[in-house]
Amino acid sequence: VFCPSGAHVSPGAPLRSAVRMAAVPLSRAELDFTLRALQTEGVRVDGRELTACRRLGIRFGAAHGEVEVSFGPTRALAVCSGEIVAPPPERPNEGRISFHVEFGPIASPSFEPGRPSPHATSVANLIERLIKGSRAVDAEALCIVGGQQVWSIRVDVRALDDDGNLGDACAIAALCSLLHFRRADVETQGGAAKVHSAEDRVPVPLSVHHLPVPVTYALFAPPAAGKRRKAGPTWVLDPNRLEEAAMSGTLCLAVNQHGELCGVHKPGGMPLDISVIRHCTELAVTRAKEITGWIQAELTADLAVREKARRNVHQLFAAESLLTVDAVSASHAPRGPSAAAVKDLAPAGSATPSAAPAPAGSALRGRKRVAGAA
Amino acid sequence: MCLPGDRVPLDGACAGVGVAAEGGESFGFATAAGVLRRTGEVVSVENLRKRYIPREGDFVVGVVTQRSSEVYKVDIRAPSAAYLPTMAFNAATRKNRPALEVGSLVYARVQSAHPDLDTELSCIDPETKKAWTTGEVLLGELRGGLSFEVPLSAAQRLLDAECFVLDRLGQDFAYELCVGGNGRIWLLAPGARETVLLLQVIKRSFGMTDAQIEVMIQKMVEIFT
Repeated sequence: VFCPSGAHVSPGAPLRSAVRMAAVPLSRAELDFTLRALQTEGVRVDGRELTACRRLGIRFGAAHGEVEVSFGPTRALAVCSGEIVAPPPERPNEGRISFHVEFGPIASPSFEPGRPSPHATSVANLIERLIKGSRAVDAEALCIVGGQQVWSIRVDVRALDDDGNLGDACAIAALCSLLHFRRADVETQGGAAKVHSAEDRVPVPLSVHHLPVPVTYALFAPPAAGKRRKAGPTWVLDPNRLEEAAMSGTLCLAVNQHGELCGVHKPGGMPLDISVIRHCTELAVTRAKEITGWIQAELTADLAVREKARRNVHQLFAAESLLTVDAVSASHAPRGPSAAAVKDLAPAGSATPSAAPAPAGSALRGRKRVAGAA
Repeated sequence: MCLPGDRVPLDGACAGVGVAAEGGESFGFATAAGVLRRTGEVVSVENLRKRYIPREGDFVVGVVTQRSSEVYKVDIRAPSAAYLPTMAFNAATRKNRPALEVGSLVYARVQSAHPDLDTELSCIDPETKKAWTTGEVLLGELRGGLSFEVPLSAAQRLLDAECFVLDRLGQDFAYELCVGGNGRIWLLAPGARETVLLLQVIKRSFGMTDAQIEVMIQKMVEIFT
């Protein structure tokens, strides 16, 4: 992301470095406006409330363990795979879970291909601390034969689109992928292990104890001038790309579905009073309960669809999932803002009668000052 | 709707963006996928493309990314950056010329745009004799306000002589707007709330009919006040 949240503390510096560092240049005007609108009027550029999040979308893929999570335009894809390996001698009875996060140019022109950037590494560390550190997935249940064979689960997360809050999207994608994944059923007879294929025995889910979900706030310094009121920092939930570039710090709180705090991640940035953190935590608990409820609902819906498909082996396509010319069924409606705009583009049938011919180029056409009646 | 390679009847109109006139006056071929649109004498293809290919004579809004003593490097959402000479302002001399900082917005005309050479911009407006210092020349730095990006076809629609969205917004709000042919738009309005309202309306109005725009404006006004 553009603004190094830990490195600069002085007020003027983040904006300048954000403008210079972004491969997609942001103008000063955008950053100044975002900051001023938040500080003086509490208005966000996309019109959301300060505590309003973008819509969370979860879409499961064909194989078990594939999931795409989106917060509005921000998207991340996670894929889970497992293989049987020999465990290291210091931990003979535990399986292994590893996370790999990749930010490539597909997500944003400021991401470069090749080695993971510091931002990608910090997101990978966040996900690892979140899921492994809070013992969300039972590692001992991944052991097959102690000292000889254990499961090694690998989760690959790839960022598809960066419009702010990519860390949250990646973490939720990794979590959903672990929940959705099914590993082959293994039977141990004495010291030997027999791996059953998917046709013999139904694959088994991983044992996940709880669902820790991150909630990210962007922090903005209060306006420098103005001693009239004691202004605390402004914080917004679920920042978008502009807000991330203009922010002075970030706070990430991880809460699970029972309302227990699983982690706090505050990488540098501006100082915060403990009362602000407490207030943010209360909000994060509510938000985490919404998110986990949504995850569980989507999971059960997807499993029901797969169950039905498995029963109707002879029927390849369900009647309601077929596309017809007249209507596109709701479950296959195209998602995303660009798709919606393409749907709305009605052919502009009526040609405007007296439009001027090809632009000869008076600058007056482009720039205008409109005086309203109000 | 058309796909690249489709025949497009021209009927005496000239080919605009996305249409190549091959068969004389009667028909052309589409070179882009999208919706055909005919405005008077120009037939063009509208789609959601955002990458701008510089064309000589276009007016664009750019962001300054680097400055040297001779030239500013400006990003205009094109495959490569464009260059704006520091002296290319009305009545600018070595001692008296504007100093644009990195990150500032500038409204300029594309002076030369050859695909193999660097694109050159210029802020010299030949139609006025005023100097840049008066601030009344339309080309030049855009101060304050907010900039945002829309698809190229949306910007072309906003540049029409009769644009329903802008006229309708002008009935209720006072604002200053600068639409660049490269899809970057600069907007200045009195309050932050109003600016955000105008921004959201303009961004979402692409592809909507007039009636839909009217309804959207009313809803937005309710939400924001």
